[in-house]
Amino acid sequence: MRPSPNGGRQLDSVVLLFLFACFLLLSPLREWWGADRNAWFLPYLLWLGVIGLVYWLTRRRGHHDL
Amino acid sequence: MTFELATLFAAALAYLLLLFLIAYAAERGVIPSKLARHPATYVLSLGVYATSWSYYGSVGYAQAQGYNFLAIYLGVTLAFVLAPLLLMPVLRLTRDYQLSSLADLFAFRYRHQATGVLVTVFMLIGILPYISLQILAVTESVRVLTREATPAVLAFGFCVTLILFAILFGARHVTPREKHEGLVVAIAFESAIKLVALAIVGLFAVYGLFGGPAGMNEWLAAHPEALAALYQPVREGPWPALLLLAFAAAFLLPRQFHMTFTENIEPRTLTVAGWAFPLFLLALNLAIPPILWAGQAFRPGTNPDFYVLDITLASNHSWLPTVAFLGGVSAASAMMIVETLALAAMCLNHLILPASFSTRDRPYTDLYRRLLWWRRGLIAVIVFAGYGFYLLLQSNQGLVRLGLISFVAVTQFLPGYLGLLYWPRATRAGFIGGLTGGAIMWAVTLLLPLLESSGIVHSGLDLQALLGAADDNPIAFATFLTLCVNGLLFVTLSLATRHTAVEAEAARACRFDAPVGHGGSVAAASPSEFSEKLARIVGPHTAEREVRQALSDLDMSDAERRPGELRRLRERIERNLSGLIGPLLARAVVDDRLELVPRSPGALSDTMRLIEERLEDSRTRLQGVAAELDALRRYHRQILQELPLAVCALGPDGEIVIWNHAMEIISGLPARDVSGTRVRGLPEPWGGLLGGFIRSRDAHLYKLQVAIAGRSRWLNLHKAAIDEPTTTGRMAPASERGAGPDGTRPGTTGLVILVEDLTEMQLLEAELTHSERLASIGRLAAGVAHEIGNPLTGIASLAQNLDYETDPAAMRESTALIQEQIRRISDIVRALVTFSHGGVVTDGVAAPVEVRRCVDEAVRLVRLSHAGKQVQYRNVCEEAVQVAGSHPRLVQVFVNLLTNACDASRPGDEIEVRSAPDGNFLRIEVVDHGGGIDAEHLPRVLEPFFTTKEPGTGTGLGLPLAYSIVQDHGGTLAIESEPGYGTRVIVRLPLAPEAGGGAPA
Repeated sequence: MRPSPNGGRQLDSVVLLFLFACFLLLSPLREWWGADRNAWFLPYLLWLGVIGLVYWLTRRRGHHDL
Repeated sequence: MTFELATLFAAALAYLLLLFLIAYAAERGVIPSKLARHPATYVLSLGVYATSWSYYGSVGYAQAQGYNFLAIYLGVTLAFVLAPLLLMPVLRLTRDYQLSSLADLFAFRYRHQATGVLVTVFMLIGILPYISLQILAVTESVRVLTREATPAVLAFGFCVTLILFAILFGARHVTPREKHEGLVVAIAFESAIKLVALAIVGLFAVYGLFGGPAGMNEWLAAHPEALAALYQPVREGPWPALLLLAFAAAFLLPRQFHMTFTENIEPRTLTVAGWAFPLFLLALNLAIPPILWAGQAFRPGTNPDFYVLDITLASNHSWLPTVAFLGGVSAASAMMIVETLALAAMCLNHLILPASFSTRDRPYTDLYRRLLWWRRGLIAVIVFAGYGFYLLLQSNQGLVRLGLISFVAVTQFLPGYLGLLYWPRATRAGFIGGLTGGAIMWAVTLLLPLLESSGIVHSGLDLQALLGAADDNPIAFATFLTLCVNGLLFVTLSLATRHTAVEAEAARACRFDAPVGHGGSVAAASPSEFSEKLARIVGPHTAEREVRQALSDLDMSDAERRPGELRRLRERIERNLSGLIGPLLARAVVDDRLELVPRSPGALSDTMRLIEERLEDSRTRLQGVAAELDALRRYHRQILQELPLAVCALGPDGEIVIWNHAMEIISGLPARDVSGTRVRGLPEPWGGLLGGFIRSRDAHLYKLQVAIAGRSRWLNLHKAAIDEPTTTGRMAPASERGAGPDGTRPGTTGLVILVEDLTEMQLLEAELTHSERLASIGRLAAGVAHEIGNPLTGIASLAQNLDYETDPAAMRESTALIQEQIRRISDIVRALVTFSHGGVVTDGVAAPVEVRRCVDEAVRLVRLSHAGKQVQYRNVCEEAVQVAGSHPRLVQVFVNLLTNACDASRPGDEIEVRSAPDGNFLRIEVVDHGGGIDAEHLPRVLEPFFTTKEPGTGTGLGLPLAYSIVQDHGGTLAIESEPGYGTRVIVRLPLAPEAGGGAPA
């Protein structure tokens, strides 16, 4: 009779991923990936990593919340 | 290489015509609907986010601000990471309540006309720079390719062409509420063209100009400052502000809102867009750095905003610049078409209609057509307003600057948007105050300097300098200042003011938190009456069509009369009208024409049912305590539904609110048809049966025989009033309750009726009785044979003697003796036949039965058995005393009791049967002096199949059946026993009316 606990956990995962992406993009970590000597495509790789995580979460969540 | 203006114009026109053909084919079904509903199409249609700014301006912005240009897309990625929390709830809201624009959404939540007006006006002003940016980009791109000053008429021609296409794409339908599959497919195609064109230009930069990736890397190694120029601004520039602006723009820009929510055909596609749309943006931006470096290396001195075109001129193929140009036209036209459609819808619902719409009796002859023409006119006005803004601006304005000014404008809606979803305390005053403050700050910090730099106004006001902020980052400063003022006013004013009732209801609806309907029931009594009433405002054609549409949406018949269903119809019409004329006007029209009768008792049950239905719809949307409570409600509801006992609950006015599965099975009436009707409206026999029971004083009726579908059924009925719980959870005291109409009582919220179907048990019981009777006959068989054998022997002897008898007197004597013996046999046979047929279920009509005669008959039968012969019987029942009942069934009772007494008695013992009046009952005692029953067995002797006899001698059904028959007669059966001294069975049966005046059960 309890609502599925998965829904809440999945929303938690979404928030955690958002915070992780914010940390990556807004924290002093920016100094590391934004260093002059890095390969030009590094920001794209990080971006792709975040997209990959969103994809992974979406697959886990399915379409139950719609 | 240069191009002719006419060639470029023809190419652009041909491209737009191709787009229109694609849209037309999608709407006509030539392109399968599956494609329009495919997640990839939806994701590509969201690509309308990437306009000329992205297509041309990103390279220029990368030149000036390095990788900061990526923030404009990474912010969108962040927004789509939060899609389940930020976008999906709004998608559900817009679908549920037919909200077609951001202004509709805010006007729905912060209920006031001023909200819609403010949002629309500010959005219009905020987006004008963005529209002018597109015109500027197209005219400048033409200039780059023709190497000539662009004639002024070109921009005008472009605008006129786009107006035509915007009308063709989005304002051809009679009802604007419909989804435009054609538009979605066409915009998706445009996004694909942008992506392909930019990829081709990027590949040309790498392979055509640098000679491959190795060549590009060599150039980068030789020019390390080029790479450093990309990274450095990320560490020092307005990176966080840009991320925030793009985050908000991802869903607050009118075109984004339109494609994400309004034109969303399949909700599940938004889940896919969570990762696929950022992936599209990544692919789109991958070409930007190579194009930038190619421009720096091979086209130095030209405008970096147009490197995308400039570098293609270095190729020997004319198709390459054409493709690049068409990519730009694609980006600009898609943005302008969708943006103007979205803004036109906002202006129509919140500026034009409120000013011209009257809820008084002044109907439109054809509202749909009028709305269509208004929409078309607004599209033209908005495009021309953008054109006017373009003319005002100097052409040296950076593309990205114009775009960012619009981004800061739409970011002002972010506090209101978050409040709408997650802060129920937010009020209209807070929203309006915050937005007004933010808008003023935006105008002062961004719009004014823009106009000043174009030489339009000269205010000399520099807020940035006035506040001592660094001068190098105007966008970051404006973002910070506007959001601070906006957010502060939003929170402060919201806390300082209170909700109106409608605002509180809207806040709950936005949080999918215990939604409630309006109180009362609709005054109009039928769908046709709905049409008549609505026709007085929206015209007969529109009214009829809207009512028909709502009936079809709800799968409802136009013969519907149930008050609860009519309430649902009213709500559906309001929602559908909301998609047509906006939520505020829709509410005004419905409130004015389809008025509610306030708080009739029936409305309470309606509301209850309405809430149930809404909760069913919003099952997956509830969170926290609301979700827990809903789960509990579901659990209780399920218990009621699955109860193996038929349950029917009535509201205070006798309307049925619960009709569970068991009730559906017993009655054969589905809950869907019955729910909301009154009991008297039920088909027979249910209307009469339940109606009569509700009116009767009895709280219980037992073994009521009812003919249902040609079959007899036996039912027990029970009823109880449902008391309204007090605030402390206690029921109202009994003294405060009195009987009311329909069996309900004042202070109660209805009545619950339980129906027990005893038919199966009744038939089984009859079957068992019959079996037991046959078993008894079997046990009596030897005695019967003996009893019949003796007279037969006598008859045989007498018959033989007759052969030799000649004396007539002796013959007559023999004949008389034979007849007497035959009568004796006949008596035995008749008694057996009567006994064996006694178990058939009768219609239950009781008749006076003489107990003494029953006992005599039973004794005669019992005597037939071997054991029965060895004991003495004393029937001392009073003569002529009658009870109400069935003679054969009562004989069965005494046969069973006497058989048991015989079995327990020793040869020579006496069994006595006596009777005495006991009030309205007759008390009959069957007393034996046998071995008695052990105390441990006594409580179980009435259980079926329990026996203390030897195996094979007893079925264990005799006493339970006797008990059951006595109960059926409304009597009681009790057993007293003392081991070693005998047993006394006491049967109490109601006296027949003429005998004692007692009424049978």
